[in-house]
Amino acid sequence: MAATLAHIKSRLLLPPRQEEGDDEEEEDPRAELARRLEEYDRIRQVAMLLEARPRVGRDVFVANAIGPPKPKQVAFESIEVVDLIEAFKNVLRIVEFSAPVQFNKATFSVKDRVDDIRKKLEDTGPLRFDQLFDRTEGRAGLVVTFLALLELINSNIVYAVQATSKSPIHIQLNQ
Amino acid sequence: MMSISFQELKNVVEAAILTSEVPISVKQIQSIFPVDDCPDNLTVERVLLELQRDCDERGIELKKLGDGYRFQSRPEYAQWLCKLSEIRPRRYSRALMETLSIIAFRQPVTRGDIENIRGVSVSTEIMRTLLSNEWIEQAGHKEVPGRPALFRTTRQFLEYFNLESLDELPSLDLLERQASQESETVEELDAED
Repeated sequence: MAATLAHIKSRLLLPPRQEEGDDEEEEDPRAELARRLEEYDRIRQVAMLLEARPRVGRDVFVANAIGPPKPKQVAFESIEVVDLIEAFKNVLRIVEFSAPVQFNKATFSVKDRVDDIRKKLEDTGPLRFDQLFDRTEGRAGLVVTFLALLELINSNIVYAVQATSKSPIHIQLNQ
Repeated sequence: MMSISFQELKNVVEAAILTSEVPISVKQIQSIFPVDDCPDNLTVERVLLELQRDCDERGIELKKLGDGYRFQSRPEYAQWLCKLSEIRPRRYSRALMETLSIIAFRQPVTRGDIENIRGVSVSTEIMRTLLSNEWIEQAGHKEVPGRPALFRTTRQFLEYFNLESLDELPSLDLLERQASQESETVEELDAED
């Protein structure tokens, strides 16, 4: 910004060039600056309007009654981390037999994956445990997905359910 | 025709909204009924409209935020209700509100886009606050060198600022038109000199 201002000032101090059509070719740098200032001014106005909006905990208060206990807690008890690890082993076993050797190195982040899983569940609703995994990502990708899933369960964003101890585990959003 | 009366349906919906911790949508309301005995969209909308009307003379209103509904106190009673609330509402800086406004209006945006408009670098602290309040979220990456993260506002943003949708805020086009009208007036004044 300082450099832009210095540039504009220097242009004003220097005598204008005499070549013809010069002023048509070069845009006044002040115009660009003015455009940016106007844009910023609009954002400033919007920020003030947003500031004035009725806000939860300041202007409006949510009316809530305590609802029936959620059945999820019952479902929760039936699944232990061990069950999830067992299910994950099955996913890994399939990839070991079927996945071709991969040479391209990809990096995975648990944090990004947490967001991905959440999005996926928001879009499609509850998913079967193994549907969360993309086997083409190889072992590293699968492990990251699994860690992200544990993270989501730990922070109570999703929960795992199972009809009976033999049936597949389903993952759904905690709403 | 449903097996329960319209009045009963209304009561169920009212209780469902009131006992839900987060705003619930028409779809979610329908999901609490059996598939073969489920009110259609139009019926649910009518129920919601009547519940809204029932609140006309009460201290609470049924408000639509995003696609969800919740009961909340009317803003005009805040001066009394805030006395009961133990948590002081947090004040947010102008810089934070401006950063949030840019994300709301120009979404999805990168940090670079925000810096371009505000002319100063984006504070990590502000981004952290916006993300941890869940008002903004990451929405993939921009496919340019460096693949910077893109940000957009969330459902929780609408809920917190009591907005049904982003359209409730004046559009930037409108502000732009106002601005250009003002500058025209200035030019006219200049011409008179």
